[in-house]
Amino acid sequence: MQRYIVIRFIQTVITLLILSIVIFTLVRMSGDPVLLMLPETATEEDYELMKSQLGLNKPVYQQYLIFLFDAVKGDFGKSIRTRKPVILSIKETLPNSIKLVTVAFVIGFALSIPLGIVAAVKKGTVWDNMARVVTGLGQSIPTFWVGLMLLQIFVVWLRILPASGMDTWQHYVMPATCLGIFLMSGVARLLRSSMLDVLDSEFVKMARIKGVRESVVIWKHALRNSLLSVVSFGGMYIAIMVTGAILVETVFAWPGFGRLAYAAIVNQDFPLIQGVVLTAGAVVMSANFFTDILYAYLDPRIRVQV
Amino acid sequence: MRKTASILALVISLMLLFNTSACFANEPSGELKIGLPTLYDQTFHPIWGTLYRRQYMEPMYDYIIGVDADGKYVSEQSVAYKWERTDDLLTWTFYIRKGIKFHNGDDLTNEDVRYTLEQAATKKNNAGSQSDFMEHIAKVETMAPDKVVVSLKKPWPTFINALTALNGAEGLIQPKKYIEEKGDDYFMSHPVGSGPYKFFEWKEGVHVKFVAQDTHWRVGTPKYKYLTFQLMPEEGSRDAALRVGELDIISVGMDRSKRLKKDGFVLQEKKDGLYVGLMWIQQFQSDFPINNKKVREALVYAIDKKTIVDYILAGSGRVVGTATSMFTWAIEYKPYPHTPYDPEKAKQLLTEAGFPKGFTMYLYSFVTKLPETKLINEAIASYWEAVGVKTKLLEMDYSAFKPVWTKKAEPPGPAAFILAWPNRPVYSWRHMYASDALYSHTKDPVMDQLIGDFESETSSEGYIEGARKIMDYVLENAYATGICTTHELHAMSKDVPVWEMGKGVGSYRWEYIGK
Repeated sequence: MQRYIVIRFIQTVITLLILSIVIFTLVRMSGDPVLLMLPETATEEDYELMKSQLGLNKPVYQQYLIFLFDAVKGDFGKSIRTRKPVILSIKETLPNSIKLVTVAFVIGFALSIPLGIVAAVKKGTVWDNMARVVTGLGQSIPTFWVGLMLLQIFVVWLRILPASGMDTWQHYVMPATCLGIFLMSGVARLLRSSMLDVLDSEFVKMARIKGVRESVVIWKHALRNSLLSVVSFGGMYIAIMVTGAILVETVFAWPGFGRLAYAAIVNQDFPLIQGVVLTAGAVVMSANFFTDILYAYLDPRIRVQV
Repeated sequence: MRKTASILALVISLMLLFNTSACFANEPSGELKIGLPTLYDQTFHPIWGTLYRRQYMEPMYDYIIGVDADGKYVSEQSVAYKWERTDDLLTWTFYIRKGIKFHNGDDLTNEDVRYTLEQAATKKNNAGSQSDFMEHIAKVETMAPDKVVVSLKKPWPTFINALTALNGAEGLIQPKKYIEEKGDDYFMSHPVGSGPYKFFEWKEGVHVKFVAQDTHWRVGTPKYKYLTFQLMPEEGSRDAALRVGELDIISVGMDRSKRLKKDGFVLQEKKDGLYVGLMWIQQFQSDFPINNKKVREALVYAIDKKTIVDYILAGSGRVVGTATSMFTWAIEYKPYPHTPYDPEKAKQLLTEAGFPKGFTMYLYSFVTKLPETKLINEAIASYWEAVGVKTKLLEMDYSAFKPVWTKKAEPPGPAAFILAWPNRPVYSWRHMYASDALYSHTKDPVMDQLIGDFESETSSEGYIEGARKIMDYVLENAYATGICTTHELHAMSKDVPVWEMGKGVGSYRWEYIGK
């Protein structure tokens, strides 16, 4: 297992290095970064000064190494727009998104596991049909619309939840539900199909023949083996939610990482884009890394193969 | 004995109660929360960043020249309690009020006013009127402890106006000592002003919060202790937050405002607050079809301005014939008939210009002050498509568009943009049309001459006449076209007293609520 973790860690670091090269190259291909970083009113002297400050008069490989070492230290420079260190903006927004997604994740899994199991075990019945309708709706209704509807119902009509902010647990209910619904639908559908495969397998038949209780067959044998694909999907999806929950963050004025990334792009805030993309990459890679470890824990065959 | 003691206790209680009430009446209390769709750059340096930041930045500063709600200069609200000018309009003297302090405790002196004016005349000034200040200001001197003398290179009849809320943010006084000690970068996020509200907190992407001074020389005691500008991009969310009392005032579009009014909320209208106009990007480039006057005229004829006002703006506004902000507040201006909607004439002009099959046009689409701007852009794109001009919308944020407007970034081809900006009583022709101005996309020696003549006028009649000549020339050449003026809408709870938003550009006089 240790060897497996070390190998996956090295792979993650290599992927991040490749990502850093891609960002470094793309930024230089898309234009002169100094021109992008300087204010519109800068002079020629300002240009030369910033060029030397950023080390852009040095050979390209040296420039890359400087960029890389600064990034490792968390130094992405200052935002063009706000003059605020990029790392500070990331530090302020990323935890907000992680908190929100964690709650969404709990909601999503708490609903999807029983839903997926019921749908699989009661295949073809009214329960299965209901579960399919619910998951279908959850995936097809736009998150943005769900958010606005929740606002209308729980804020305007019932007046039991706050419209925006993130100070109390009540603030988490609507945005996390919004994100959780989509996750729930995906996981429940995946779990259903995976469970159906497992329930049809020889070892489950054997367990039943041996007289193992049905609840043990479902919860111990079938569920554990069905969770592999769910873990893989969930791990990937959690990273996507952290970095890309922009619609939900917009509706609920949630000061998260998605809105920061959006602001960086629409404002062409080059240092912020660089910081945000690398951080998003690191989040996705980390999620993958931990998912793989969990995967190996759940499925001993992977450890053996390594 | 017991009865006497009870009466005495009652009297003392009443005295204490009245005393406490009187005491509270003289202190700001509570919090006013204002929900806005954008906080723009979220920086607080008066002249570093977009002018529109003034929407939340203004209560923190004082102007060199103050104006009342009608847009009239008022010395009682000006840091300069008196000002004089020579007959040739080349020397202006300002007398600076004593006893004003910045929020960090430093005295506001004539050195701060000098610094503010000098900074406005540098390339650092990004607040809107850089070229006017650079073009005119020759020297700023502090002659006596309360005196600032400004020498101009050439007459500038509306110089005073440029130092007020009726123009840009250049008149907001910056603390020289503080900025020199801490640097501009630090000042941007740790601002110090001398206004009725001082900076309290900035949470990026969340809110900007100010706290009231107990008393202020210009405003007296502000009604609200805290003034919070909450960033809430989605209008539906702002609406919900207003309805449940999380926000007190929200910026709102025409459509939703009607529903809110019906549901008992108060609409605060800045009447004719916005001018919506169409301008070209790099029309001077000879290989761009919009370099051709007939093409520009065709594109103007193709737009159904009345339908835009009637349907997109729900009738809240009027079509205008001028090609710039309306001169309705400070300078009397003749009414211009607007260009009629005539798609057939547009097609004919395109054919005459050598583009019978049209061409590809780009339309930058961003929102500044008017939420409906994107819908207007979509309508204009469809009108142009209808006369054969393929139109691609380029969606972006205003900040991202600005390098294109200032010619620091190239457009992908012939392009235009719709800007909804605050109507202003004095318009900077140089700023928009002079060949060498930062925001100008016109290179026309005749126009430069007209602007030069206009700027050398010293009489008000000559000044108005000069402005009219430029306006006629702009319209004759279709260098720009106005779409309409419209009202800026805010919906608010009944608990907030109605106040005069004034006629300032992007200025809302929040500090005067309840005064």
